[in-house]
This record gives sequence, structure tokens and C-alpha cells, in this order.
Amino acid sequence: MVTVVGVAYRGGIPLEDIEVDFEVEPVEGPGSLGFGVREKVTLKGNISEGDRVRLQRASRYCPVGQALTKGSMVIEDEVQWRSGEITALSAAPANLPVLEGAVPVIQPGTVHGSYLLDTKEYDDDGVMQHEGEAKVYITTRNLTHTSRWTVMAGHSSAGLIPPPFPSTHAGWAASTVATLSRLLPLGEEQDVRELQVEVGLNMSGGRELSQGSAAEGRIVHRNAVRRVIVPGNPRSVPIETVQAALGRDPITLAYTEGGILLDEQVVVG
Amino acid sequence: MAQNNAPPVSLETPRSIVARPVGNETVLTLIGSGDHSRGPWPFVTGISGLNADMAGPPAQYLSVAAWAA
Repeated sequence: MVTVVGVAYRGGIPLEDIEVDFEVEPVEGPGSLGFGVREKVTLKGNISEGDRVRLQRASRYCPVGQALTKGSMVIEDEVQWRSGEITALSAAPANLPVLEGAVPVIQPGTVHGSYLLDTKEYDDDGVMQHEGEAKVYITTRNLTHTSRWTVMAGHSSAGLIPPPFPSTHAGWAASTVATLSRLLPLGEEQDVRELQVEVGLNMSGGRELSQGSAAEGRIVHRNAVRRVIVPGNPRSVPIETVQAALGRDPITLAYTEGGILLDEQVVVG
Repeated sequence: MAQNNAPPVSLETPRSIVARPVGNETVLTLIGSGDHSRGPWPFVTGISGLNADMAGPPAQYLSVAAWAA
């Protein structure tokens, strides 16, 4: 939302409000369990068809959308064992071991984002300085009950909520931990709580690059270093095992293979 | 289960994200801002269990929520 709001502002498009809805569903891929999303963006205001198309392009090419659907992330992986050894991962060989565990099933659910209009910030000359904040409701369903959470993200001067792009990678880091927790065959002497995943981001370019590339429909490749710290040593937890587990992580698969966008609508409502 | 000798979750470098399991299938993730006037921002995510309560949304939902924002 904040990218679309920024593109609309700089393009003189009279966007008054915006909402985003995702339906999330589990999707079974070759040898892995992933997820797919159906997206609906609702634009409010006196939006012409030409402007709707421009904002649809901005929505498709926002930094997070690029990461999850267009393979924009350039990932460098490192593995460090608690014994101290560290190594960079190269491309995965074809004969990685088959791991017995299963990644967590992704429950169906919905994500609804609403834009907080009064959080836009302007300078004394009336020029937008920060696009503002969004409130996002998450609802998931399992066999017995429904669960709900609220997440906030955006761009504001107060620093109380995170920007969307790092938040996406927080989900990636958490997903990596969850996947490794399930798939690494750890021995009795190894504690899963010794797992740690660190992600370092190259945030150069900032808002101008993000909104400019979104407006133009241009992919910008962004670098991320993911360091996976695992229990044990290279003999007890072989690098091929770690690599095989990473290759089944749902967010990693989205970053590297895309394909999670099952349907997309951008409408004026 | 072996004794937990892992160091506490911490942000060692600016602009980094650190994720660690914190029990059962729950993960604590911290986003560092690289700027002491902003953040850091914590997230708790839980893993789907067929009948289990969850401490937080599945991690993938956090990424989709960020996409929505």
C-alpha cells in the first residue's frame, strides 16, 4: 500500500484510500509444500482507467512483491556451526539428501490491509515526507478454530513500526528457522534452540528507487546475506543436509522460484 | 532435551534480522533498524499445528502482511 500511495502522490493520481486483501492457501509443489496467494487491491478515488493501470503496475513491482514473485532477491547463504566452522553455500548440487521430516503445513487464511490515512507526513511546504502506516489483520484457520493477529508496517518518522521490506525478510528468517527446526535430523546432544538465522539487507536506494522502479515496472535486484547457525559441527550436521533443508523452505522457494501469486485484481471500489 | 547453551537473541549488527526458536515451535524474530531512534521491532511467529494454539501467525503470513502494507 505505501508504495502505491507514494507512486500516486508523485504521479498526481487522486488516490484517496486503498485496501489490500490476500487469500492464502497451501500449495503442493514438486517435493515441497508451499503456499499461494490471491490478491485484491481496492483503490478509492476518482481513478481513471489509465491511472488504475499505472497503480496496478506499481502494486506488482513494489519491493516486497518483487521479492516474493519476481525473483528480485540475490541471496548469499552462509552456514556456521556452533563448533565455530563457517562456510559459504554454493549452488545446490543435484544429489542432496532426502530429509524425512515435513515442513509445517501452511494453514489457509486471509490477510487484510487497511491504510491509515492520517499517518501521512508532510513538511511545511506540503511535500509528502513519509507515506504513512498500514494496519494488517491476519486470520488463519485450522481444524478446530480460527486465530487472528494484527501487524503494522509502513514509513513514518516515529520509528515505532517497521518498514514493509524488512518485515518481509523477518518472515523469511522466521520461516527458515521453522523449516530447519523440522527438517534437520539433530541428535540427542544437539539442541534445536541453538539454531539461529541472521539476515543482512542492502537497503541502498531507499524510497526513490523503490517507488521509481515500481512506477516504471522495473525489477531491482537486492542483495541479502542469510547466515544459518546450526548446532553441532560439519560432521554431525553435514552441509548437504542444511542445504537440502533450506531448499524446502516456503519463503526461500518463493524468493527463488516465484509462482505464489495465483490471482490478482486491482479494482476501483 | 539437551541443555540450552545458546547465547541470547541479540542484534549484533545494524540493519540485521535475527530469528531464533524460543520453545516448542515458536520463533522470535528481531529487526534491527541501524538507527537508535527507531525500532528494534520484534515479531513472534508460531507454527501451524492441526490442533495447537499458536503464539503468533505462521511466518509466511508475516511476509504476506508486509506485502499488503
